[in-house]
Amino acid sequence: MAVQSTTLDRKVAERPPASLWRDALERLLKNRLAILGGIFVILLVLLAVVGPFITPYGYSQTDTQLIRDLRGPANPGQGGHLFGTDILGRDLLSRIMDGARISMTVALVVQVTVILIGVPIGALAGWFGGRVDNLLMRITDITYAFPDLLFIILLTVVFKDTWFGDAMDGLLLVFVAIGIVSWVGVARLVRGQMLSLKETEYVEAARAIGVPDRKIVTRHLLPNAIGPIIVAVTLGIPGAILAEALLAFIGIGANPPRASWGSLITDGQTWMSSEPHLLLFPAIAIALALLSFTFLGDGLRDALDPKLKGKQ
Amino acid sequence: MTATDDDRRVDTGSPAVAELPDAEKLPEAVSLETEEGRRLASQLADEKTRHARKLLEVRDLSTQFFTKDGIVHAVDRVNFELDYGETLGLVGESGCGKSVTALSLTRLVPDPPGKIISGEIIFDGVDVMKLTNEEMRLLRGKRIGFIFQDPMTSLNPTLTIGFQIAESARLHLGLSNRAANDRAVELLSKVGIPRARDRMADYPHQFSGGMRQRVMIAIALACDPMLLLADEPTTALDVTIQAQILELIRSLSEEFGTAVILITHDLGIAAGMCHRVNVMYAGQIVETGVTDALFENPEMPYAWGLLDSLPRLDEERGAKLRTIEGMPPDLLKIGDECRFSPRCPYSREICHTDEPELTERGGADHLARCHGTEPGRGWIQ
Amino acid sequence: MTTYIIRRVLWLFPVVFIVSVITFLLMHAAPGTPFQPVSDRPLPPAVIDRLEAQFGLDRPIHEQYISWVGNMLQGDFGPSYRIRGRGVSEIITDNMWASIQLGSMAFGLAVILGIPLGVVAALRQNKWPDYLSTFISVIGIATPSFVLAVLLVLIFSVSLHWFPTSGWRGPEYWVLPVIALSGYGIAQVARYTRASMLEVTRRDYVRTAQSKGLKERSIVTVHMLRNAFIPVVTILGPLLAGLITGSFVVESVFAIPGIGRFFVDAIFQRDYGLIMAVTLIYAVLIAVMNLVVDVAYAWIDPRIRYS
Repeated sequence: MAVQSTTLDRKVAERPPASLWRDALERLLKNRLAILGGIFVILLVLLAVVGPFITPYGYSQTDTQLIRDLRGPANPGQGGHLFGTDILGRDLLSRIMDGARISMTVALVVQVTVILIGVPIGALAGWFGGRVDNLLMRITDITYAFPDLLFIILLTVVFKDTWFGDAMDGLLLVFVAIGIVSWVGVARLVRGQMLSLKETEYVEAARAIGVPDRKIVTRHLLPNAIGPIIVAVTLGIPGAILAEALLAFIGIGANPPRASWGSLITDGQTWMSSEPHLLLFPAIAIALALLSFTFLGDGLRDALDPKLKGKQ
Repeated sequence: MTATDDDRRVDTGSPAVAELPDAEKLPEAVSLETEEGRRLASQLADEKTRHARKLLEVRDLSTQFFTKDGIVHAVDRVNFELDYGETLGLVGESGCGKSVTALSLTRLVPDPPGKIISGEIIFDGVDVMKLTNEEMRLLRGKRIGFIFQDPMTSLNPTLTIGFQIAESARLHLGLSNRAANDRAVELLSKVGIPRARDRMADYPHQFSGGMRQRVMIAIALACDPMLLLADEPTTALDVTIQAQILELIRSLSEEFGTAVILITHDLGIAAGMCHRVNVMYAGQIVETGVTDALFENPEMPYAWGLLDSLPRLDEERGAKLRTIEGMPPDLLKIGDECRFSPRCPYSREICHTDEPELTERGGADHLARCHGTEPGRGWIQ
Repeated sequence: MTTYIIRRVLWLFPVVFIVSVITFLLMHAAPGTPFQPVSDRPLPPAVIDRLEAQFGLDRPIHEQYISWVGNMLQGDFGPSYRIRGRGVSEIITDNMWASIQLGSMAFGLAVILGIPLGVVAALRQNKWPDYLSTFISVIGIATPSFVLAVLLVLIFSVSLHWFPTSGWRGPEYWVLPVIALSGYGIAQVARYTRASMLEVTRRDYVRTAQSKGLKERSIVTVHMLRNAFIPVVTILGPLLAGLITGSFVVESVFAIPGIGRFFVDAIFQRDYGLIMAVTLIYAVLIAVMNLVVDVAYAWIDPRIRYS
C-alpha cells in the first residue's frame, strides 16, 4: 500500500512566507489610528524640512503697520494671516511651523542621544553581567535619581555663552540635556533584552561555532532588540516634546525671536481672554503632535509584539 | 425508558437543565478515597446505563470562524457518540478540527470570530445548545473537565496550584475552604505529586512540565466530572513523561468511570488508550470504528497514509520515510468534493465532484468516508 | 527579600552622595554667584567679595563641600543666600508639605481613576466604556499640564466660579491643580492597564479558568487582574518621579506655595544652599520610590524572587 506521488500540481494551500517585518507591517497597516498618527508624523517631518521655504512670512517678520491699523494683534483671517498674528504682527502660522521644526528636531536629537548612550550601556550591562552590570546599573541609578529639571537648567546655564550653548539658537544644548537625562529607560530595555536573549539556544549555537562575542551581540542580539527599541523611541518622543514645552514655560530653550510651541503657548496664555487664537493654535498643534506619536508608537508596539507572530 | 428519552429530546421549550439526572442530589463533600464515595460514583454509572442512553450524542455539529479573509469551516457536520466511561480518540493532523470540536462541546469557542452554526449536542440527556450561558457555566468544571495542551501556559502563574485546584471544588461542590483544600491534597497525591500537602502553596513555575500537566489533570478531575476532554495532553512533554501521563489518565478514568475524549495526532497514543477512534480530516470525520478493527483494517486512503507513515522497526536502515504528499486543504474554500482527493493516489473523477458520505464497512461500528472503498461501488482493494 | 531591601537601602547612600557631589560641582561651575546672578544689575566687586567671605564662599570647593556635608548631617542646611534671613531648612519645611500633598494626590488620582478605566475599557472593548476611556486618555496625553491648568482655570474658576484660581488653603483649592497635574498620569495608567488586560485576556490560563466554569467576575478579579497589574507597576515608579519633579508648573499657574517653584527660582538665582538641599531630598525620594515599586513588583509576581 505504498503511497505514490499524486496530482500535486493542484495548489491546495497557498500562503506567502512570513517574515517578522512583513507580518509587522501588515498588522500595522490594519491599525487605523496608527496610520493616522503615522501620516501626521510624516506631515510634521515634511513641514519641519520644507517649512521655512513655503511660509508666506518669516517667523520673526514683524508687521507694526498692521498692528497699528488693527489696534492689536490680528485675528485669524485678518490681513492675510491665516492664523492671525501676535502683538508684534508676526504671523502665527509661520511661527507654528517654525515650532514644528523645533519639535521635530527635539524628537530627533533627543532620541539619537538616548540611543547613543542607552543602547551601548544596556547592551554591555546585559551581555557581561556581573561587575560590569552592577557598575553600569549604579550609574543608571544615579542618573535616574537626578532631578531632571535641575540638571537641564544647570547644564543650560553652565554652557550658556559657549558655542555649544548658542548652537541652533540655544536649542541644541537643551535637546542634548534632555537626552542625557532620558536614556535610562532604553538602557534598561536593552539590558533586559540582552539578559533574556543571552540564554537562548541560538546564541549557544553561535558560540559553539566560534562566533566572537562582539559579533553575537551586534549580529544576533541587537537586531532582535530593535523592535522594542523602536517602540520605546517612538513613545518617548511625546515626552521629549513635553519636556521642551515645560522648559519653555520657565524661559529656557529657544532664544527669541525663535518660537517653539512651548513658548508660543506660554506667551499665548497672557492673551487668553482677548486673543484666544494665540493660545489655541499652538496648543492644538502640540496636541496633534503628541497624539500622533503616541498612536503610532502604540501601533508599532502591537505590530511588533513577538507573541502575536503568526496568530490572527 | 426509551419513551422517556424521546420525550426528553422533544423541544418542549422548557429549560433543559430541569432534565439533569439524580446526580444533582449527591451529598456535599464526597471524597473519592472512601469506599462510600467510590460506591456512589459507580452507582451513578449503573443508574445511567440503566437508562440505556449515551453520555454524549453529537449530531451534525458545524463550527465556523468568520474572518476577514472569509469563513473557515473548522468543523463540518460532525456526528459521533460517546458512552459512559468510554475512551474515544479524536485523531488527525494539525488543523483538522479536532480541538475546535472539543471546544464546541463545552461552548468555549471564542466568539467572535467563531460560532457553532448548527448541530445538536446532547450531554447526559441535556441539550447543550439550549442552555443559557449561566447553565452552561455550571456544567463546565463540574461535569466536564478539560485538559489543555500546554501545561506551561495553561496554569495561572500568580496563583498557587492548591488554590487553582480547590477553586472548582469550592464553587461547584459547595465545599468549605478546608474541605476543598483537603480534596485538593487528595487529588494531588492521586495524580502522583509527592508530598502533596507541602506543595499546595507552590506556584506553577516551581513545577516541571510533567508535574504541571498532572496538576492540570487534578484540576480537571476536581469535581469528578463525567467527561474528560484531553486536548493533546502529552504533546508538549518529554517522551518519557508522556507514557506516565497517559497511564495516569487511563487509570483515573477507569477508577472513576470517567469518559474521555482523547485528542491527539499520535496514532500510537490513540491505539494504546482508546476504545474507539474517530479519524478527522479537514473538519470532517473520515473514518470511525473500534480501535483494533480500525487499525487492522482501515478503510480509507488517508488512514492508510497515516498508518503507513509510521516508521517501522523492521524496515531497512536508510529507507525513505513515507509521507502523504501535499498539504491539507484551505478551509476557506470548501467545495463539493472529497477533501482528501487532491492528495489521494486512488482518486477518480467522482472523488472531485461528489463529496462521499460516511457509510458502513462491514457493520454499523465501522464507518468510512470514501468512494473508493464503498462496498459494491468501490474500486480499491 | 529582606536582604535585598537592605542592600538597596545601603546603596542609597553612595548614590545620593554622588548626586550631591555632581550637583555641587555643576552648581559652582555655572557662571555667577548667589550675590551676582548673571541677570541682575552688577554690584561693586568689593561688595560681592565681602558677602562671599561672609558666607564662606571664597574657600576652595572641596572645603565648602565637606563643611556642607558636615552641617547637613547635623540637620543644618545653612542659610538661604537669596532669601535673606531665612534658613534653607525653614523654607523647605514651610513649602515641602504642599508639594507632597499635590504630588501624592495627583498620583493617587492617576491610579484610582486610571486602573479601573483601563480594566473596564479592556473588558468592554469597542463599546462605550472603551471609547470613554480612550477619550479621557487622549485628552490627558494631548494636553500638557500647564495648558490643562490654564484651561481648567478659565472654565471652572473664571467662568463658572466653582473653584478658586490660586492658593492652597483647603480642599477646594486642591481640585483643579490636582486634576491638571494628574491628567497625563491618568492617561498613561489607563492605557497601560487596558493594553495589559487585553493581553491577559488572550492567555491560556484564562481559557482554563473558563473551562472550570468560573463566573466571569471571578475570572476577572481573581485570575486576570493580578497578572495585568504586573507591567503596570513598572510605570508607576517613573510616573511618581515625574509628578514630583514636574509639579512646579502647576504650582506656578495656581500660585501654590510649593517647593517646586522655590527650586526653579533657586537655580536661576544660584541659591546654592537651597539647590543642594532640594536636590538631595528629590534624589532620596526618587530612590525610595523606586525601591517601593520594585518590591511591589516582586510581591505581585511570584516568579520574581530577588536573591
